[in-house]
Amino acid sequence: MKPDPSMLPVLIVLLPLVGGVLAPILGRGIFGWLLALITTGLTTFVCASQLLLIQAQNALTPGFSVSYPLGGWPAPHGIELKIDLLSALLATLVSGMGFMVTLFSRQGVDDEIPSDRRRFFWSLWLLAITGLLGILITGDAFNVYVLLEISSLTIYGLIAMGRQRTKQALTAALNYLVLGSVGASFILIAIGLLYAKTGTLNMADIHAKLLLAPVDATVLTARAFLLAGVGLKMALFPLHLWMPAAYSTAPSAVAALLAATATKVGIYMGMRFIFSVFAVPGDEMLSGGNVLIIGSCCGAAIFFGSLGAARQPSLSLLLAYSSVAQIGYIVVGMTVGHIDAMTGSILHMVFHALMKGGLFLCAGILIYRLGTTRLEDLAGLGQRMPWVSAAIVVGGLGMIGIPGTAGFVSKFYLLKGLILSGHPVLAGMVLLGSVLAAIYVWRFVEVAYLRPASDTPLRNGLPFEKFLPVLILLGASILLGIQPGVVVDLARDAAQQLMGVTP
Amino acid sequence: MSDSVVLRTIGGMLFPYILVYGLYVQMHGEIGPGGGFQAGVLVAAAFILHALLFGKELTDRLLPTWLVDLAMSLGVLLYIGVGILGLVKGRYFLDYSVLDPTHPAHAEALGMTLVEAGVGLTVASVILTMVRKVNGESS
Repeated sequence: MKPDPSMLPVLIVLLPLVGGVLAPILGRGIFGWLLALITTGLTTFVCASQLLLIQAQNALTPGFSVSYPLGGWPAPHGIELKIDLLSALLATLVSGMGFMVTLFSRQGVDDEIPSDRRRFFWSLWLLAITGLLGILITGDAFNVYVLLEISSLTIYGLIAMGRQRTKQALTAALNYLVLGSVGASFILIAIGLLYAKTGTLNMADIHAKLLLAPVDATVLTARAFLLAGVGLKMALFPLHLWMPAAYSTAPSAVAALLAATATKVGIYMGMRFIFSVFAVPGDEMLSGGNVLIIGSCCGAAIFFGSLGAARQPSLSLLLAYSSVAQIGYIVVGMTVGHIDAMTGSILHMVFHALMKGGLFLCAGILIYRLGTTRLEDLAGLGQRMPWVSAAIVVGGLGMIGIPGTAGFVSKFYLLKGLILSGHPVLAGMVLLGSVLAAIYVWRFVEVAYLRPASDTPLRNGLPFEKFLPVLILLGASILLGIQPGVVVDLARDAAQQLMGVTP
Repeated sequence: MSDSVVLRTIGGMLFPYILVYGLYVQMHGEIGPGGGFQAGVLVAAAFILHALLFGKELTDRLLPTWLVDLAMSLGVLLYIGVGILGLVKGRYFLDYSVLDPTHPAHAEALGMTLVEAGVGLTVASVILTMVRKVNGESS
């Protein structure tokens, strides 16, 4: 048992876990926020260092991944943490978004959460981040399920805490709890079937055993259960019904965190299982009929999500429906099995998290200052809150995919991959989605700039610490739209590693 | 709260024995059936019985809410602490062998006992908190 020189992998989950456990003890008053801020900051630092280390190693030996046996028990019998480029990239994204939203949410949480609950709020907050990060870095299938439950249960609680602002938060949380539990059970059944088939829970080991055995009914059933469960978790059309209500009624900080990270982690689970566990050469999970089914789900998600967004009465709901469409983009890229489409898919996960996170933070500022995000109350916002409405427009342009924004870069790769792999219809859907996105973004522009100012009273000023994260996130989305090189390289390497393609 | 003398007397007599039994299951978990989860439930059951018989005000005085809140976190911290000890000593997370480098079996037993103690503490306090919330204690 050689001691491992690097404890970075375990620190990724350990830091937020310790923070989450300390929060109920130390988190009174301002200290909860400070604790969360420090914890997420440190975690981001650790994730980023891990990402850089893996990237450097990956340049030397393609396909490199870090393995960390918990308790010193070697895989496949022990539980191992296994971090490759995709895990590290998304872990950096999740923890970074966690940090940004924490920075944003001090006063918002003071407004929306009763004071005696705040320390538990921060505890749930950090534990949710622990669960999400854990899913990204674990190499053990059952561990995925356990961490999924950790993140889901805490997120149900976080959504329900929105009841101070609107009672509907309770219904939304209950809805999500029921649907989320069904999804999680499906994933558990899939893992159980895999265990019955292969006798192991380590993902790499399951894959190795599946390669030796013919694909039989057990594996097919496991695939089906997994797809349905993951589909629910990532809110892929038509399994998205829990999402708009949950996003629009949760406390504003929670909505931003969820929109930026939770569904992305669901998609990561799908990618991981499809490409690292179920991928059997000659009998790919994503071939023929499956591509047709998932592709049409994505197409429908893009179409109905965007149309739905254009009809919503409030900005929060509009953003939530737009997320339904954006998840369609991400999943369509991973479905067709082309390296460029996969690159686009991974890029869109990152960019969408930045843009949608920024937009939901803007919605949070509106809730903080106006107490509402109903579009009719936002009339004349361009004059009343010029900075915030400009930020929303910038984010919206990214949603459309205007050249010069990050959304353009990811959609470009998506389109390239879809056309090269011979799916012109899906490529058409992606283009149509951009047009439809223009409609719902225009709705905001019309309300904010072309209507006389409404007389909804403004509370509070615009606190700098609230606008700073918006500035950073949307600024990053513009910067990466103009200079996407670094992230594109990362995403392409991650896609190659995931699909097992050597450059 | 119960008015029956029989229930209150018998329940009062049982209360310490349930606690001791919980402790037995806790300590026994490392070599046989038992462990933190079961023990935690037993200990919590003792206090729930106490609350049913003597009223929750009295139980709250016996076991204040802040102590239960603290125990929830301390249990997990104990668990994580054992893990971190391994990290600090340059081993893997949760590597028990650092607890007694000369005797791996003892280290294993000690590590498991400590971890189970953490589990027991957290399970007991979480169940008590849940029952309290269901009882409609406003917070």
